[in-house]
Formats: sequence, C-alpha cells, structure tokens
Amino acid sequence: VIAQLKCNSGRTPNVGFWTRGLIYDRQLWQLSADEVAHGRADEQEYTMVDETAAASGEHPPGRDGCSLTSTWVGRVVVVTAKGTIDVLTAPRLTEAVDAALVEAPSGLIVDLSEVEFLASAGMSVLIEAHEKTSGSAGFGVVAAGPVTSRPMRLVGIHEIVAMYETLDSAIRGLNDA
Amino acid sequence: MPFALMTSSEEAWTPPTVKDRLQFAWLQAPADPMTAALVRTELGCWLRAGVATDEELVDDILLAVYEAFANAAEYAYLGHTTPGTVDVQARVDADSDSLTVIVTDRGRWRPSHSEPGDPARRLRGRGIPLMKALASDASIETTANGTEVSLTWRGLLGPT
Repeated sequence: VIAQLKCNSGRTPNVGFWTRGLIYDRQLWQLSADEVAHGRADEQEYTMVDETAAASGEHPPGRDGCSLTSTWVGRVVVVTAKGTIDVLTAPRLTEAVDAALVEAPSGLIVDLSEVEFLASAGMSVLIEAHEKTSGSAGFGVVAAGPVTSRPMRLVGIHEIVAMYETLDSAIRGLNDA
Repeated sequence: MPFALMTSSEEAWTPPTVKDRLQFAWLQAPADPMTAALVRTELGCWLRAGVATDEELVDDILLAVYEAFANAAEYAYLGHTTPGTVDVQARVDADSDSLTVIVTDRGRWRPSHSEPGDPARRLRGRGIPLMKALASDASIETTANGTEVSLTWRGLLGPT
C-alpha cells in the first residue's frame, strides 16, 4: 500500500496533495495503513488521508499541487491558478499563459486568488507574461493576501504589473484600459 | 523518527537527523525542486507545531527558506554531473525569542553572466531580495567550499 499522508499540525490543504504527489512520483514513503494507524509512522505529524475525499475536493489540484484553468470573459482570458506556484509548477503556468495568448485575447488576467504558495519562480512568469502581452493585450494579476500580494509587493512586482484585489476589478480595469 | 519507514527509494536519501521543539535539521537533502517542496512541507509542520504562532510569519519563513533552497538547487551545482546536496538547519533561541535558519550548499553560485532575458537570471534576481525582505536579518556568505544563507526572525511569539 502506498500511503497518502497529510500534515496535521497546520491548516495547509496543499500539503496533503504535495505529499501525495511525492508518494506517487517518487515512492519515497511506502508504508501500509496499518503501520500508520499503529503509530509506526509519526502520527503526531501525519495521518492517512482518505483518497476519495481528497480526490473529490472542491478544487482538486494536479499531482504537483497546482491546478490551472482558462476561461474567457468576452475577449479577456482568465488563467486561474490554484495551489502551489513554485519552481516545479511555474513552467506549467508559463504554458497556460502561452496557450491563452495564442488565441489573441484583448486582455490576459492571471488569477492567484486561490494560490497558497507563490515563489519567485512564479513571479518571474508574471513578469514574462507582462512582457509577452506588452503592446498586444492588457495584462493584470489578481492577488490578495499574505502569500501572494504581500511577497509580490515586497519585491516591487506591483510597480511593473497591474495588480487587483478581485477578478471583477481586474476585468473592469482591463476593459477600461 | 518520522521517516523511519521511508524505504526503497532508488535515490540517495538521508532523513532529517534532528527534529525537536527547538531545532530542525535536514542534512544532505538532494538539491532539486521536489526536495525543496518537501523541505517546505516538513519545516511548515515543525513551525506550526509550536515554534511560531502567527500564520503570516510562518508563511514568510517558508517562502524565504524555500527561495534559499531553490537558489542552491538552481545555481550551486550548475555543471555538476551528479546532483549536490543542501543542509537546512533551524534553531530557536528561546531567550531572544528568535529563529535562525541556515541553508548550506557545497557548490558555487555562479555569477549571473546570463542574458537579461534569461528566466534563470530573473528568478535569481527576485529570490535574494525576497529573502532579505521576508527575514528580520538575511546574510549570504560564499566561500570556496560553498554558500551559506542565514535567515533570522525575531519576535516569534509576537509582541508581549
């Protein structure tokens, strides 16, 4: 049995998915449900997660803890990211942005409202998206809160890229531009 | 021993050697993005288990340490045929209510001689300012033997 483990000591919904991804991809942890239940794993930190419950989660991310979807609002394309944007998943955000731009939108919005971890690798993708859209389409990022907006502002991304608190305000901002 | 049951990985793997209330150490961690994410998860568990009470502070610590690890994974072992390793050591000083995390590699951070458009250059360009902005103190020391990033946070328990 390849176990699926979830971190107990914090409210970090992506952790379980991460761990699951690692187990599937690298098989680092191979232990039976019995071993976990009987405390041979560190039960202070981890418990088994019901796989079906995880799979039917409201927004199940990909195996790497990141999910990306594109939707159109008129001629504006919205790339919605959920979960983790780090070195591992940032290339997928680049792919999603590039795929969206092929359709020649009037504007591109990257919505990070449900991102739980944003590393500088992800911020670089946003700067690149800004450069790719320059002259051809509007560009904006939806980010609010301590794990996205705050670190982006700390390194000055808001001085380069238009940042919005909500998707509605981003759409209005791009349409008015 | 949280990782006592970890077996059968083909890759070289050394489990964290220390994890208690005041210190966390993960030595010889493979310098790759997968391990960077795993270290983040483990360190997050340890922090939330009682080291830091403020969730925003935990987020800051996890991001800064991730950036330090990712930098090592990205730059320290460029050109090496075998992946290198990174040590992550965190220690709480209860007297001064502070946490210091040291991320050490044994490679060499290459000077950024890449083209301005190179994504790697931009990644590195923001990673270091991010670490410095997130930590109370941040220092990066490069010697012939490797690079040591030291990140310190004070006021773990908030104003008293």
